Amino acid sequence: MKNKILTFLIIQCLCIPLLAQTTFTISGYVQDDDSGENLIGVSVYDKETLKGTVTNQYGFYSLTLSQGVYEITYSFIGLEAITKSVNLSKDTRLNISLKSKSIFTQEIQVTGEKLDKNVTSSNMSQVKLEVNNIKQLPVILGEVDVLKSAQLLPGITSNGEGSSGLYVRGGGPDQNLILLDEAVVYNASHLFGFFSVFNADAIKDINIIKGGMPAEYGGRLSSVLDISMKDGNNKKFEADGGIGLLSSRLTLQGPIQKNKSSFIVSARRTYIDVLSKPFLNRVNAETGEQNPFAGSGYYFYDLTTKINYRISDKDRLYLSGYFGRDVFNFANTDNGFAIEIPWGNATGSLRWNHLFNDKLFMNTSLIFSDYRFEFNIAQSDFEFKIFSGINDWNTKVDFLYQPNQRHTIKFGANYTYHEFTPGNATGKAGEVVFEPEEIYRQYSNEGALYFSDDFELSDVLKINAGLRYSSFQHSGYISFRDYIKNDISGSDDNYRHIEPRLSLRYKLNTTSSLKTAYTENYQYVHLASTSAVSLPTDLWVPSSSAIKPKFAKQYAFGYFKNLKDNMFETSLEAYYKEMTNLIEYKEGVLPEDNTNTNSDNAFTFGDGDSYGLEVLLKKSKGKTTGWIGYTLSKTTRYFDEVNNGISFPAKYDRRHDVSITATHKLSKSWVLSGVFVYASGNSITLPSERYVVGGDIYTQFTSRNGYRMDPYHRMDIGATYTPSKKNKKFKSTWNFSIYNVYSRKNPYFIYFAIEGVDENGENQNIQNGNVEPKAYQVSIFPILPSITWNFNF
Amino acid sequence: MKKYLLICLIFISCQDEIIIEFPIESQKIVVEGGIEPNMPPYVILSKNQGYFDEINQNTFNDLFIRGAEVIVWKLNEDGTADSIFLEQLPPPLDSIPIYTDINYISGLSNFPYANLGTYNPITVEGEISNNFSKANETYNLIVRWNNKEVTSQTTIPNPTPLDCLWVEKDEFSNKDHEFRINAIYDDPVEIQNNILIKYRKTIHWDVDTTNGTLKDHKDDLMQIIDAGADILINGQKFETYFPQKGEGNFPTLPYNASRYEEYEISGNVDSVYVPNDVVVIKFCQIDEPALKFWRSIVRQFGSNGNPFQEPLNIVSNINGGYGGWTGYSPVYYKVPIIDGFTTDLPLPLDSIEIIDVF
Repeated sequence: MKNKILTFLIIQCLCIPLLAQTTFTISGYVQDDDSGENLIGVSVYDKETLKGTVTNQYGFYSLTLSQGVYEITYSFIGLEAITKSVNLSKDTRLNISLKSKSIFTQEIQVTGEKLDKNVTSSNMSQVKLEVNNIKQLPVILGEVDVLKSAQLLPGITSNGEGSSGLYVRGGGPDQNLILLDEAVVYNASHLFGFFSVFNADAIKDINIIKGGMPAEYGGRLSSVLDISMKDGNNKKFEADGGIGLLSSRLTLQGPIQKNKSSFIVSARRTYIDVLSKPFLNRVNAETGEQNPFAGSGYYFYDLTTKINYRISDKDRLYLSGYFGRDVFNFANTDNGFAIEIPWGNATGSLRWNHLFNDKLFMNTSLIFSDYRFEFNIAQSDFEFKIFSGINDWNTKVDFLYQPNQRHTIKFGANYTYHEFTPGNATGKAGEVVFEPEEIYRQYSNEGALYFSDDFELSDVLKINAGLRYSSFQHSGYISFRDYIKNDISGSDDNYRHIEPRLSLRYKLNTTSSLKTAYTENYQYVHLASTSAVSLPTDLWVPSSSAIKPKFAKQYAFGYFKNLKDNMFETSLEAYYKEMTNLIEYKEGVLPEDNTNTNSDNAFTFGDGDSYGLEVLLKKSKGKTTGWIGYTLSKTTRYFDEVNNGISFPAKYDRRHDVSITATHKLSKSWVLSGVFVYASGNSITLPSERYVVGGDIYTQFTSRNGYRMDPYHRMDIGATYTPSKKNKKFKSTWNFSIYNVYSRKNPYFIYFAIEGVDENGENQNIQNGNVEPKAYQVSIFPILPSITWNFNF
Repeated sequence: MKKYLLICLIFISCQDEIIIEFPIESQKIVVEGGIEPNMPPYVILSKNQGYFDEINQNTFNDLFIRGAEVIVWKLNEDGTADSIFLEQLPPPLDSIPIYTDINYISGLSNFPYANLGTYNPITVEGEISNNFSKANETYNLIVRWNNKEVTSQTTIPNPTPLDCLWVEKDEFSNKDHEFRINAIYDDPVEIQNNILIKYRKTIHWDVDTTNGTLKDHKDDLMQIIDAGADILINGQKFETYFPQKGEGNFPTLPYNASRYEEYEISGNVDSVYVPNDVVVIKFCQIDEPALKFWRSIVRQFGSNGNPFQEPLNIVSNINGGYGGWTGYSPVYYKVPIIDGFTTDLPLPLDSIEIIDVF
């Protein structure tokens, strides 16, 4: 560790002479001329030397150059590039608006990034997804889903049919840091994992980091999904919406004070419950009896909202929030049985951007994040409720310092107060209420300091070096108020670690480069799951004296090459990741064993590793765009107390994973799209033995994830039709999708049954013989056409 | 919740039968055994099989282990040990080999030769002289067979009887003859206890609607209703109820009172009198390892093949084998399903049928 720090300091010293040059800075914000939205990732560069930078998450750029006259170009794919002549003899502020390209020249873009960024940037294993492009890909039941689109990238897999869970380079679902306007989203899926919680209409930018994690991010081992919400149109009022088979959406946005402040509100709700209600509530005409399942149903909704206010040229405020809920109801009046399961996330972010000067930008945030789950069951006079959750209060400050064109320095601090509510239960029988003396909660404090510098040592060598100092203090049942009063500094539950982050680019020529990255990450909160997929019942638990933080080291190496004036982008990345202190429930432990207390003794710990090769060929320009991705990988787990200590494949281990996406602009009105995916089958655990107790047959699962299901493959096609504009103010599009065109019966799960009846049709049992063990493979989504109507005015 | 999600998924899915072959990894002894105060310990021994091995009368009979050496022993306060060698019941009771204290069984004055092979109950009425099995004592089990040895240990807790039980109309049923068994339970506050509830319909008739004859569908064996710790209910006095198993082995169904049931032969409608069910409730306290075994039994009913459920094995307290060895501290109640029936009297020892112990 000491050597790494020393190396880092030496590298820092090397750049001091560069800082000594006489320079001036041009800085400002870049926005979309139509909507006033700040643009993320706009290339800002000197046309002659090609030296430049990109706008940050808030649309801010800062470029420091020697005194002189420059032709500064601002370019963003899909928008008209602008070149400004600047006589740089003093620090200059220049805010820029980029106009849309005319419809005749507009090309479909796969990415909003600078076109050669994958070659020139020091970062590797990072992808920016363009929401407009995602919206043109075929989707299941008409629901545009950013997480499902992310699964089409190499190195990112799903857990099976329809799942929106992300499994990145062998990491589990809890190893992804999912941020919505900087707020952590703990459960990013609706409908038990089939859809993501993010409404694409409200999203501006999606940045995915699957390796080489920069120092400003931490707290997770595998990836970052950083999602920025739209700010709201500050020039004119606008309404967008869509009516689909599963849900409808409506987004309203507009200026509160023109060019100064704006708002956006976006809502989405499913209506399966509304459509099915007349059938479920129907009274049988002959018997006069009501359907026993009346009152059953499922729906989800989410609401995202944001307002921003430009206090001055140097200060901006953003207030954004998300609230989403899933509600599952099941009722059976035949036996008075009723279940209600609500769960969901709520987040809120208050952020203040401040420009100290042209080189130093600051963002300060106060963030709230809450996830809660409830399971209510009732029958007659009996009621039972389980509930759990996690909420965070997070404050952070991030600085961006760009002293010259060779350096981009980031530093900051982050503090999070976690409140965990692990599995609690209450009940009621008649008038008697069962509840613990107090709700069991746990509290933790998590902090981090970071520093990184992205700097060019020479024209060919660029380094992004960073250090993150993270700490975690688990107070157990001691709340913040108690913590202030009590001295618990001697607790064993304190963890402090330094996490080096390093990536390096060596440019071979203007179109190709080699990159390598090494990162270390610690993760202090863990998702405890007894399920093969992410479910709302999963518990978030903190590190404690019994639960050590997870740790990962990742090595990555890549070759990046662009062809035909950046029309084609290719990359070949290899990675190796080691993980320790991974968490699993002990065999034989039931989650309810720890109701109303902590779960520390319920877990067992082990290691894991993952290695793989990822190939990406992407076409970013032209009428036909898209990408082909292929991943060859292996992910293994090692637990002394699981699978008799024998290593086993992770449940999201995929040997081969192929995805092909294509979008073709056929005419002014029609855009066609297609997706093909192929993946090795899921590894699952099946019962290999049976035995009899009390006359009933029980199964014994022996080899963990020892059976691999059939491979998964599927093709989807879609078309987007934009009618010719008769009404300039009202625009609409029709999106047609066919999911699983050739109706492949992909395995979703396998179940077992002992079946047999005698000649009288009565069920046989094992004692009578003549029964047969059978296995069935269940497939859930055959060919599924859908249509969605979207509008804008 | 996972169960209900599974039901929803099956509605929208399609399924195909597939062939999977798994050889068993190793031969294991499966123990199903118990001991309760004043009753002889018993053990049924069987073997594991490959999941897809054929099932017929031969393979069923081959499941069971005969000729094993089975010892139950306990350590006395003075450091000495008492032990019993359990032996198989003699023919014709050996179609399913039950290892028990033969001296105890054969010493009973009324020992019927019922057919245990089909799990028909044996009624044992006689003097209870056994004092080997007592509450608050720990019992060790050793089984040796075919060069394999498995061991286990269980403790018999103190019993906690129910305050009372009664029969009342099932409010959710629109059938006049469907009733449920309710009870008041007063949980002792000072101890952490684990509860196991079983039932057996000792009388239950169905009607063959094609000819109006009654079909005997009583339970051969005790069935499990539920098992759980008193974490949430500790020290509370409350009303509960004991349904019977329904679809998927989940206990949700009511019991039958007497009624007349119609049937039709050649267009003529007639009716037949069907007697009420009689149910034996076995309300037990058990130790924690045994609770884990029984909890996992309950859990596995709903987890087989469920994609939302991590595979869950039965949690065994048998070292080196599968199954469970349980020290029960039971109280038995006999409940005829008659509207208004109430009792607060457990069955006396000499009225307990030995099949409800086994």
